[in-house]
Amino acid sequence: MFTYILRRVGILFLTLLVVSLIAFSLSKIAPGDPVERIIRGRENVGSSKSDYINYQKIYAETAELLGLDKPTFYFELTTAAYPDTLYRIIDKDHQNTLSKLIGQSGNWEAVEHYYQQLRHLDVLLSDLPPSVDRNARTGMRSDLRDLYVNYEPNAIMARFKRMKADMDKDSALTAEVARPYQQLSEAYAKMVTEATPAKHWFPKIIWNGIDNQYHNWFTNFLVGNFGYSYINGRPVEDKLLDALQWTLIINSIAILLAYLISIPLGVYAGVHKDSTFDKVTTIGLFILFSLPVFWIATLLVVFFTTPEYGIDLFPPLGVTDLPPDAPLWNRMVDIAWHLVLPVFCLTYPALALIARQMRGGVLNVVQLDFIRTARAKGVGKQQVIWKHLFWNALFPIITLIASVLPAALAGSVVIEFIFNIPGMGRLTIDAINQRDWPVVYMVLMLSATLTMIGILIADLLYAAIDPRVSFKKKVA
Amino acid sequence: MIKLSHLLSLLALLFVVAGCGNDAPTEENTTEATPKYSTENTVYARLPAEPDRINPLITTNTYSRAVYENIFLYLLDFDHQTFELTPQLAKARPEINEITSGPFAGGVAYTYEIHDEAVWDNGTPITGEDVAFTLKILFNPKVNAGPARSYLDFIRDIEIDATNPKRFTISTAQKYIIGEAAISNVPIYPAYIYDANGLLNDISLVDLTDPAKQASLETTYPQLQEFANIFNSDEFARNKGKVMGAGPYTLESWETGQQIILNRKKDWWGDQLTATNELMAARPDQVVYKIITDQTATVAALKDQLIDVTAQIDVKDFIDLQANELVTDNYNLYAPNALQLYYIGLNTKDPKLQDKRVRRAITHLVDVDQIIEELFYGLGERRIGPVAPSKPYFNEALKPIAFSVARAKALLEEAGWVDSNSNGVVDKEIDGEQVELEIDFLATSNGKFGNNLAQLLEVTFPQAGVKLNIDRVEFTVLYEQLKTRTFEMFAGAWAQDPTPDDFKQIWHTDSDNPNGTNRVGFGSAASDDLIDQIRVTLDEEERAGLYKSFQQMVYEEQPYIFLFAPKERLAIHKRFKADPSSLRPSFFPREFELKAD
Repeated sequence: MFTYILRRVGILFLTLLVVSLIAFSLSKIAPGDPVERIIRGRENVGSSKSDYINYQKIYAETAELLGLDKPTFYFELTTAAYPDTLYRIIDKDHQNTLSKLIGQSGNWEAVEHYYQQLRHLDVLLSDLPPSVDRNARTGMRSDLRDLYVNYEPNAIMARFKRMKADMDKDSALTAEVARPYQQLSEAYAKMVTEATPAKHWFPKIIWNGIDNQYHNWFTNFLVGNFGYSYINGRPVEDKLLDALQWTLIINSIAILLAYLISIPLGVYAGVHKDSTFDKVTTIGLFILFSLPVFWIATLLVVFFTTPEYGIDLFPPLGVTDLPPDAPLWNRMVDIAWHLVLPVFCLTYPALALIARQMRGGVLNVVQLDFIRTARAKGVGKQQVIWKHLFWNALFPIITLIASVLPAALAGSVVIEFIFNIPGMGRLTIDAINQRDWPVVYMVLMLSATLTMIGILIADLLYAAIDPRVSFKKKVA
Repeated sequence: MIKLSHLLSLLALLFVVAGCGNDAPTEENTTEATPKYSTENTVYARLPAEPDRINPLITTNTYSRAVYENIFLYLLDFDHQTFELTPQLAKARPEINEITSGPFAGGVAYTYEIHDEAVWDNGTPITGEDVAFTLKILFNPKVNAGPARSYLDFIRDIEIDATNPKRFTISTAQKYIIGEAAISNVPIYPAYIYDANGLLNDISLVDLTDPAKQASLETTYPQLQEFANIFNSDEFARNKGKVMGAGPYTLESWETGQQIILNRKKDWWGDQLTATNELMAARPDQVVYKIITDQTATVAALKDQLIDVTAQIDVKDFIDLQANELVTDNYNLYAPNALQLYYIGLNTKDPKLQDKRVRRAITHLVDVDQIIEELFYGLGERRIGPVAPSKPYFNEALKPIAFSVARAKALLEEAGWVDSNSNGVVDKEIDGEQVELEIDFLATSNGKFGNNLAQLLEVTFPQAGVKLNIDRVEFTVLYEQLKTRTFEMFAGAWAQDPTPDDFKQIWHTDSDNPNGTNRVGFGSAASDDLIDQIRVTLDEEERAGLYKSFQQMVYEEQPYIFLFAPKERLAIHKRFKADPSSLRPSFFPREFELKAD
């Protein structure tokens, strides 16, 4: 048994590792740049924010602050066409464009040369003598800067064409930038003509060392430093704990209630199969099961929380109206009162499933010989049900328990939004929408851990309840 | 056997855990607050989202601002009704002088004087030193104040009057129309709270504002980093006793996702000024910000009188509330103009849209009045350009471009677009290719406004032979297309300010780059000159002329189809006397006056 648990804990760690890898790589693939997300939130401020240089400075500062200026992972599996240090180009857009261009051309030297020429011309265009026609200049510059984010040949060619047209409009501009423009277009032409797509056939592993984003995050995670939210700089564990307390309370009560109500229902229905009670509960539970939670929750809020329809029984939102320093008892009563409706909404859909499973379990056992024997030797009905039948019928319920732990923490987004409960569901959705990856990672790691623990507990319970299940190696 | 008693004790334990938000035991009678039908002098105000942090220099969140404006004071702030700059911490508006000599020649000097009464909570007077300290925080490159810094980067130095520490002069490098507004609107920080160890004492502002010196200080002066670590921390953004300003309220508590409680200071220095200056008003004993994101919950909270004030009520809900006696008996509903502008952006570099006649034709195909009526239930005010009609320099000569299929057709024909292949869509030869006038309208898959708008346009566009394709994408994808300028048409909104408009950010060709916000590619040397000139022309009359020419230019080019400014929708409980405002967030709890009965 002990070695079994040990082995399972080992698997748990492996799983965590895999989950962390998947979470991390997904966050890298997902569109949207957290740095930009943070800066963009500030679009309506700033006079000189339109200043390109200034933007790049703020971008670099923010990226450094978040540790996003480091390589992503220990190593990169790529092709011989890619350079080792692409990550040093901090701007994610530029990096992306270059990466796509290498993908097309396979010739990093040519791509790098093109990028340098691009930057060179950009600098030149920002600092021209007043004799240059500004309409031509600004037209040319705007198209040039588009090249930083465009990599499709057609888009690039269209911009080259427009730049040429703008340049030809003004002789002073031509005098200033004809050569660098020529160099840029040659650099692009070279990238196309001297393409070495064959390089993509040779795999290459780039070793980035241990100072990389994943390593920094995961080692911090292992020592209990869960990082800081990108959005408001709060420690992730603080954010999680704030959300967790409410989700845990609400879900524990709901799960407990669901089991307390549905197990006796299921047992009774199973024992009295095809009775009126069985039929009525079956239909009733299935009707409940099929009522969508968001709809019921909204109806409850509309009808039972305001005096509008004369039944103002419950507070409409939140978990409490009292400040944290209110007397403990008052606060507990207030919280309980607030939680009645959300707990109800979480409980009723679960009833049908648990009750049906229990009923099924009972039906499987009730016809077995030992029950009949017990009856025959005169054991009382209640005792037969609860002592002989119940424990043997518990198997399907235990299977459900495996999902209880993660469910208790996951939080229900719908319920939390409608009743304004600051729980895990809302935290997770907000974090995903805001690309607040440190928070998303932690939520994922937490649910992975709990799912594994839930399954482990269920397995152990099987053994505890049914001696036929054993984790010892069978001796032949 | 299920041990019911065990389960119940577990339940009880859970409640105890939840009840113990704060482990300090309190007496029974401290806070028996039941906000429903509240009669006490506490304003319960709804916030539609949680603020990120209550540390003004490092947040740009609107809701953070709503909260910190009760805690911190500016030198001057905008009057909530007239939008005039009005003294708060300063005695009066600054003396403004052009600097003619010295290192900042060509710049402007602003001289302020702080109220004689003004003191921090520990009794020390608020002086120019505190303003200098605040600006040093701002220009400390290690502090995460990037956006605020870029807004104020024309500041160079501060000089405190040797004889009167309450009088000081801020020097700037250039003339700037909203210079006074920008400087005056910096919240002032107390050094004794935020820099208890005096880490920034030995450094001067002028060194921090000089890029070269700043760069060397970054390496030679580790205290900059040390200070920033403290200042950027969570503690100074949400903890009682660590978030402190010169204003009338202190942060009492912040429960994530639930509420933020602010308490009125007992002896606040500004008490003597509240009678004469509405911006110094601080009438409620307590302000409780309730964080309620969901609209249904908000409406329920109104019906239940759980909150005293909320803005940003959904348009449809607002219309329903107006007809609901339960609400109108207890609340006054207001719809003041909001400083916001909805528009449709057109990519002026797109071959199909680069002719301004085509863009104007499309404007003729947008029935703005119908959009306001159907999507906003009439709660909007038509706009024809970037300048609000309430501004003194609004160009009255420009008339709305009417919805007219006939005019649209005529303009398209004039620009060479005719239906040559009789497929119902006009076409034209561009670069040797026959192109149909099919326009992609970018909308986010869950953006209600964009999608509804697109459906209305889908009906009107084909009447003039223009085909509209609605391209529904995820927001990040939409943003990517705006950035790479591969879009054709999209809808959006701008938040606007009561200050004189500075067009640089949205209209200047300097902003026409992937990360800039001149997304439609508007601009020419002439428009750039106008924008630059407007920025430095301090004479209002002269500036008004420039503004009008600029509006004319935008009107002719039609890079955007201007739609409307929506009305804000808010409810204020009748137990308070209060006025709504057009300034965000459209209500100011500090001004709420509890009615006698």
